Amino acid sequence: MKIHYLRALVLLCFFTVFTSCSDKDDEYVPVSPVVVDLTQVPYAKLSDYHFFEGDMKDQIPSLNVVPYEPSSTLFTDYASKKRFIWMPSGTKATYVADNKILDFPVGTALIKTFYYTTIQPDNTTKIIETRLMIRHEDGWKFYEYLWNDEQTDADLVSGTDFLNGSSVNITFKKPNNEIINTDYRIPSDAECLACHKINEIPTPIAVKPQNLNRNFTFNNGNKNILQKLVEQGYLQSYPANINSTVDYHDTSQPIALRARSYIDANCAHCHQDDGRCYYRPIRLNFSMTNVDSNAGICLTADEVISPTLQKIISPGNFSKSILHYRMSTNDESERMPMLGRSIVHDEGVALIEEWISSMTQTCN
Amino acid sequence: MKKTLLSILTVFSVASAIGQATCASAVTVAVGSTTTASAYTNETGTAPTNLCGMNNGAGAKGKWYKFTATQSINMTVSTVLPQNNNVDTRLIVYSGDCSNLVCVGANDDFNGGYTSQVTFAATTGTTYIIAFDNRYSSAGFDFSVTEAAPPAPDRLSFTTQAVPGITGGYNNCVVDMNGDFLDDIVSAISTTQLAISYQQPGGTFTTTTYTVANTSVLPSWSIAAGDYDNNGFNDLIYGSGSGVVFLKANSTGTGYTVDRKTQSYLVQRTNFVDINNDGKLDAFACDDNAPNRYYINDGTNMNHIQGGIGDFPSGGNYASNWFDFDNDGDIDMYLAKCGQGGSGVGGNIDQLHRNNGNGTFTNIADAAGMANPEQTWSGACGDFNNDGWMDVIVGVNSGSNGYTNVKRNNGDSTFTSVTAGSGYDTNTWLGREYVAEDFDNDGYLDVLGSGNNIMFGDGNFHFVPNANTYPVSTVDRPIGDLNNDGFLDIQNGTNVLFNNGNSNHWLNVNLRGIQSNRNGIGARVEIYGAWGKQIRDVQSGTGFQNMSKITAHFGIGQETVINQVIIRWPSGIVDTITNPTSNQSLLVVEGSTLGLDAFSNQNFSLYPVPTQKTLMITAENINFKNAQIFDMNGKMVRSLTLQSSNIDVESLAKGTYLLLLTDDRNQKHSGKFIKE
Repeated sequence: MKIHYLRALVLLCFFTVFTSCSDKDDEYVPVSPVVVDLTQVPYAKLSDYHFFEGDMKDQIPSLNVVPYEPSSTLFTDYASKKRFIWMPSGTKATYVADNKILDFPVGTALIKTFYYTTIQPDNTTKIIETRLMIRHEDGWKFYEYLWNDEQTDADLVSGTDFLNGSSVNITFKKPNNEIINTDYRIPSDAECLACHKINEIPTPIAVKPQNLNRNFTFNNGNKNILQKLVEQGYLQSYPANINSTVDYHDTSQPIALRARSYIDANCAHCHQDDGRCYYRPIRLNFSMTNVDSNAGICLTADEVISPTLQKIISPGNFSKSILHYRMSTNDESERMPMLGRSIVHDEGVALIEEWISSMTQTCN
Repeated sequence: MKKTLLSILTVFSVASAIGQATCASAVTVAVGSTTTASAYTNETGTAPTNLCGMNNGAGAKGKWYKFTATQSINMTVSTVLPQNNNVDTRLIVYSGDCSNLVCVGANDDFNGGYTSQVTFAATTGTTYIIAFDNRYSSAGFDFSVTEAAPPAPDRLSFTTQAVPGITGGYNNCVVDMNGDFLDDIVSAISTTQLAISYQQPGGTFTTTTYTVANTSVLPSWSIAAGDYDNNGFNDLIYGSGSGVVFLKANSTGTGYTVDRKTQSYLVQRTNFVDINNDGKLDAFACDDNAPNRYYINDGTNMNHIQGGIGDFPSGGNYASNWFDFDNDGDIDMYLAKCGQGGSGVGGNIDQLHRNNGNGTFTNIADAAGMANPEQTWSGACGDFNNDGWMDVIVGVNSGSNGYTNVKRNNGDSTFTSVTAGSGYDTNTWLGREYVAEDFDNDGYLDVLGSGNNIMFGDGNFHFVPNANTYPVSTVDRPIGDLNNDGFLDIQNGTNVLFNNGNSNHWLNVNLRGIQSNRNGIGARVEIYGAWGKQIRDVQSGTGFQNMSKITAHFGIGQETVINQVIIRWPSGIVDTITNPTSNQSLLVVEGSTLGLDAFSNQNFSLYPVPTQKTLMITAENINFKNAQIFDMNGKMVRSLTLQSSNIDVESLAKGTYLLLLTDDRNQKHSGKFIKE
């Protein structure tokens, strides 16, 4: 292990020398410490990748590790998240379509850390896990790192532990000040794939132009994420006009646009063509929910809940809408999303209520 | 008529301004009339608070009307009128009086629309109170009160009755829990509480609530029951979104120990089944996201194994149904799959796992014609045409890859779709739960499946639904005989739909395994008579998520003579009962009908025959560790560790006994002896 590490360093040094030569000799060129050797990953510890500098728990990205956040995000039991992208030097992603993930080069690492800032009793901050997706020659692989109690590093979850998944019991305070005790779910490899797949092939979800075409505060200022990726050398180019999602929190945006952005982030990974739940008639990805029947408006569900809960969405009436019902229940066999949520997302439910209440369509 | 209606309307409109605001001031309407109720705006009517089962909370305002029936006929109160433009009304009909409103009927959304309709049998002289509220709309509407055609006659009817003791949480388990062969009702209340409503001989229930160690998870996806420690009391497995937990009954059935398994995965159907046929039940759990899991019982622990019985990488495993499809005496498994990933990926293709007889299984679905590419959460498995081979009705939960598929077992390890003309070819209902039972005891298996109805079979793959739907949940509907009358009942939440039965006859067969697992799960039960042959395989965990009775239930129509009952036990032992009477619950103890020398694969001998003091065991190349002695009712009378090849039986009462020997490789052997 040590030897490989050294070898990687030597390679990096060589690379640095090489690039230095091609540049002005006297200019100091900072070197990214990140190491993602595809023959060696997953490393035993998160720190082995050198994605972060300083105290690990501060999650300060190393050079060439680019933070980002999609305009609307997935609810995961009120966990806060930090997201980063890293690509090997000299490689870049290309634009495919507004609603398709960028075509990332081999070696790309997507990094997502899950943490809480209101762990009881003292509202402390605790990082729970960091999930990685790394692009290999033969596709994306999932790696799971569980943070230690000291918050100094995270250990790879491997072997049967990654086959079986686990949970971490936490007590935290919700935005409405309610104290919640829950078994926070650490996903298994299979559960990663359950959401992250198209036609059974592992895939990232959020890193689509439609979700990245927004401003984000980087350490050197506020900038459009796609623009930042181009400047970083991580993205070839992107078109001027992108059919984009919005931040569902943004009340200046039309309610339908906010709601469609929310359900894209929270539902569409399964409810899309070739997704896990493609066999249901709804299509909840943003590029399709402009059509009422795709969004479930006036659509009778495959599994009706009761005589008064038959339609996915009953316009004007959220309490007769199965979408609302499944978002509002914690029962494992009825709730949606099925994975990643054990607590109702109050703000998400309120958003959907507002959206359904605003609808005036008449169903047949 | 027109004049009369007009005058009624006139009278009514005078009253309406002040009249219908409260129950006490309800306005009288005439039978055969249509009444206009104005918008709730600017009115202060009292909303009904007794909603007669409708959920989603009370309205803010109400409107009240009444009429008195002048003849005993069916009446309909309805806002399903074209002029209402699908206005969202809620309607309740009460009898009684304003201080004691008795629910007659209630409806919110009728037949997929937002308008409401209630039809009920009116009794001469009774005053019926009609209430509406503005829970969903304050717009005005018309409603009619009319004579209704009598409902179509039921082929089979049920009476819905609350069973005190059934409590909240999960109501998915009807099975005999205390070994008296009367089906009980299990309510999983919470992670620390479990209630069992024990059926009493008189048809009442006595409920005991057990406090248990924290189970962490609840049977949110499925539940199954079986006696995996063979102690006479059924144990439970809960299948959840985060793995399984076992609840094991103690030796008196008065407490449960909890064994929470650490594997955390999305569980679908669970079963108890003796996968390796060692006489001890194992447990099986469908994994929704990965290859299936099972827990092999080593006599002490349930040991987790993944792989070998349904290994599609991303799962899609919804229901495992264990039965012997090829009649080779070992138990096979039909796996209902619901597919992810779209066309071509194949996660939705059903599997058929043939037991290789050595604890391994091979998916032969392709060759067997059972690789059905449908979206299935469970299938109903049984011999629908009484030809001695188990068939499968593949139920669907989504219509995206076709509808219910009726598959006939050809008896040569192949299945052929016989959906055309079956009654399912014109049926586009969707559901989770598909279970085969004979509900009307006509001798032909029926299907409790989708559409809140039973599809009644005719023994030749033709099925017809009852003329009226049944008030059953689409998901929570365990089946058992909850009043021990030989007709199967269906639990629906805190209610039971008690089967009103008919004049048909029946036979329940309860098993008591000695060498095989105590429940006899995996046994084949055959009954012979004028109908020919009927078969059942004894199962734990049918359909998608419910646990229904383990008892093998047969209807025999108008016949009364049963020539023979044959039990083919998982151990290979075959018991035969000749001419049992019908309309009874028959208990068969494994080996009890065999002669002293009739045990198969006998590799040891017992002497003397009969014996008075000492039973001597002679065997070659087998070292027996311990012995258990059972009477002919299956009751264990002696359990001992063997110190020598002699067992002191002097203290046993005179009679015939079954002997179960366990060798040092944990193989079981059984025999029989007579004590004099």
